[in-house]
Amino acid sequence: MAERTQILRIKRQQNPNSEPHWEEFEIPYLPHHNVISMLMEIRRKPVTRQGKRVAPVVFDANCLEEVCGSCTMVIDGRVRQGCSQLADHLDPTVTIEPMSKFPVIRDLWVDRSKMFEALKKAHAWIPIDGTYDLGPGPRIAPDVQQLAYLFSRCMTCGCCLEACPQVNSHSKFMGAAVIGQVYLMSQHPTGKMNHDERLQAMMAEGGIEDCGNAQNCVEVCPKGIPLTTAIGAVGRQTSIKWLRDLFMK
Amino acid sequence: MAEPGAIAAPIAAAGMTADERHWLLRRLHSLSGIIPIGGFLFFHIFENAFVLRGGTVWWKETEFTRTIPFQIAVEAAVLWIPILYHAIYGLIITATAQPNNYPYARNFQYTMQRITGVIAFLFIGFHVLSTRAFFYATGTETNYLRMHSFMIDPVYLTIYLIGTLACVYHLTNGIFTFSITWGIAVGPNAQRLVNRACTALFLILAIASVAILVAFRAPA
Repeated sequence: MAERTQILRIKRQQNPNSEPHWEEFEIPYLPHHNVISMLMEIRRKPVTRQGKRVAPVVFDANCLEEVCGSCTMVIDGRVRQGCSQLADHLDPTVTIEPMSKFPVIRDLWVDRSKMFEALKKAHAWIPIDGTYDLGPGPRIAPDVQQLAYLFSRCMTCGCCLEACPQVNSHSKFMGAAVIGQVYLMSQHPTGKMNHDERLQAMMAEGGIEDCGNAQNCVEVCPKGIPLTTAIGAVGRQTSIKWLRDLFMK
Repeated sequence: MAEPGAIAAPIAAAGMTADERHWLLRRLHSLSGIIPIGGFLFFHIFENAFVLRGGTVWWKETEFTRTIPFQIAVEAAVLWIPILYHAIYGLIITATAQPNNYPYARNFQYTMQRITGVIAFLFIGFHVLSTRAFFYATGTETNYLRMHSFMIDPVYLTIYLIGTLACVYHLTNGIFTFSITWGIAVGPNAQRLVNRACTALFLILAIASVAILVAFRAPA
């Protein structure tokens, strides 16, 4: 009986400006393999099915337990982390591509810095330092803590952007992740102090109004973050802010 | 380190900024789809449902729509301007889309909303030009005989069936997305409920629209 193997079709790209091309690799099947360990197998012996020796496939990976988000890639047309995609759940031939909504650096390695830029634009952090000790912050009710915990699990992996039809080269939409973080900050008593500023960023082009309610974000989020709840809630917050400003200013 | 913007921003927040203008244009698009355009579509289906009681009843019951004071001003304010705004800005929004094939029901609805929006735009243009604008240009009322001659023509009937169903889908799915956009239905359970209610509404309005179009096929 022939040895069981796994075929990987990989979309490769030499550098940010070069054209992508496809290469196929065949590796021996091992139980409990995941996509990252299969890519490591290729790294050990970077020879294509045609027997051509090539440069090893470049990929980004770090934690290998689906908490860092760095190995996010498109596997058989669906975005997810390579480390948590088990080979046993895949067909004998698997197609692996880099995410399409981010600039490719090389092969499967993409530049996700636009997500960080979005967090900066939305002021998605809580300033706690001043010129003097501000003392301890207010206490947070347990139910608010529970809600905040859901959103604090975001690892900026980019799945929600990749699956979103409104995130693309001809739209400025920043995606769902940053809206989730704006909602998270609005749940924090100290974070609330900068809430107006964050809502203003959300009301700008690229913010919440560019959402098209396709709701793929919440379906593909590997951490199960209720992103569409955040979109609804931040939408409501901007409605209230606008009405309040209209009558109060 | 405290960010300088963190201190300056609340002071700078007074007055409407370019950011809020973007928000307002999008929200006007969302609102105009429901009020007045959606409201008018409900009324339009309701008034024309009288045709189910015959052409004479239909003509008599819709008499008041032909005797509205300041008719052109009312039509412009309630219909032409909101529809033109909703359509043109809607096409601009549609141009920012890149639909994909992720296999989720909501994703399908997203794509359908854009397709039906474009169909509705073309259909309403055709419908208004051949009825209301035709009346202003030639003085010919779109009475029962005229509608009847349209509906017995299979080409017209097909255009009307596709066009009205696209309008009804676009409205009912639009009511659902309106409820998300404005923050009325926030959580997944609330959104599921509204989505189901809007699907039911789609079925009701679709059946009513088809019945009305078919009823015009009856001889006068």
